Amino acid sequence: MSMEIRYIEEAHPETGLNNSKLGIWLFLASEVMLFGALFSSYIILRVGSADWPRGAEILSIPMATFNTFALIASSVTMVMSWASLKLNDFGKFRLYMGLTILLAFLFLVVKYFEYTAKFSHGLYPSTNTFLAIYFTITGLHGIHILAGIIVNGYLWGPGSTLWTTKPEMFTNRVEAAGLYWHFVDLVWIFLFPVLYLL
Amino acid sequence: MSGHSEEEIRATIRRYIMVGTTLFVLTVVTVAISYLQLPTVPAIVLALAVAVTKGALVALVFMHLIDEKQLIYTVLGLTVAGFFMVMWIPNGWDRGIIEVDSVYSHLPKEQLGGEHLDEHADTHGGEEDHGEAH
Repeated sequence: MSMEIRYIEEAHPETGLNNSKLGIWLFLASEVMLFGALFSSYIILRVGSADWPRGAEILSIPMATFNTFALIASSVTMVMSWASLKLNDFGKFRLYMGLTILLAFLFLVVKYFEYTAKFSHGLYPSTNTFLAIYFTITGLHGIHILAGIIVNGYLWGPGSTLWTTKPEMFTNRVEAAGLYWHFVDLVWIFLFPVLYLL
Repeated sequence: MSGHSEEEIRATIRRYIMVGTTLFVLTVVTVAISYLQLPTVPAIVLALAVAVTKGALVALVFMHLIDEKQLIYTVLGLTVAGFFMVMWIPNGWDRGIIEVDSVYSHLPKEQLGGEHLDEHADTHGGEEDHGEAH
C-alpha cells in the first residue's frame, strides 16, 4: 500500500498553497525567531558593555564584503535555476543550481580563512563578548549555508530524476529550497553591517 | 508564481537581474558608509536603512512576497510580531522590567555562582550590584 502526501503538486483548496510551500514558510518563521533571539542577545550584550570594539578593528571587511557579493550572486543564480525549470530548460537549471552550490562553497572557504586568521592571532570565542557573539551567530549562519549546500546538492544530483516523472513537484521543491536559501542570504544582509561595520 | 506564461517568466528573470544588480550597488553603499566615520547613531541608522532596503528587495522579489497568498502574509505577520517582542527584550531589560534574578531566584546561590560574583564585586570596589542581583 503506498501512502501519498496530498497537495504537494497542486494547491490545497483551503489555503490556496501547496503544502510544501506552507511548510517551508512555517519553518522560516521559526528561523526568524531563532536569529531574532540572537540579534536581541547581541543588543543586550552591546548596550550593557562598557567597551565594545568596532567590528572593522578586529574583523576583515574585504573578506566579508566578498562573501556578501558571493551570497547575493548565489541568490540570483538560485532564483534563475527555478525560473529555468518554469521555462522547461533543465540544462540551465543544472547550470544555475551548480553555480549556486559553488558560490556557497566559496562563502564557506572564505569563512574558513577568516576563522583561522582569528585563531592564529589568539582570538577565540572565549577572548571577549564581541567575539563570543560573532562566532555564535556566524557559526550558526555557516551551518545554515552547509545545510543549503546539502539540499541544493541533492536537488542538483540524485533528486533531479524527479524532473522526468513529476516536473511540477520537482519545481516546487526547488522553489522551497530557494525560499530557504534567500532567507540565509537575508540573514547575512543584516549580519554584515551589524557585526562588521558598526 | 505558478501558471505564468513564458513571456511573464522572462519578464520576471529581467526583474531578478535588476534586483541582483541593485543589491550589489547597495552593498558597495553600505561599505562606503562605514568608511565615512560617522557618529554612532547616524551610522547605525544609515547602515540599517540600507540593510532593510536590501532585505525588502530579497523578500519581495526573490521570495515572491510581492505576489503571495493571504495565509503566508498572516504567518509572516505573526512572525514579525514575535520578532518585535524579542527585539523589545533589550529595552525591557534596560528599564528593569525584565530582571534576571526574578527568573533564577528559585535556584540555590551556589548554583548561580554567587560566591564567585561576590568576589568579583569585592575586587572591583564592592559598590556595584553584581553580587546583589543574585
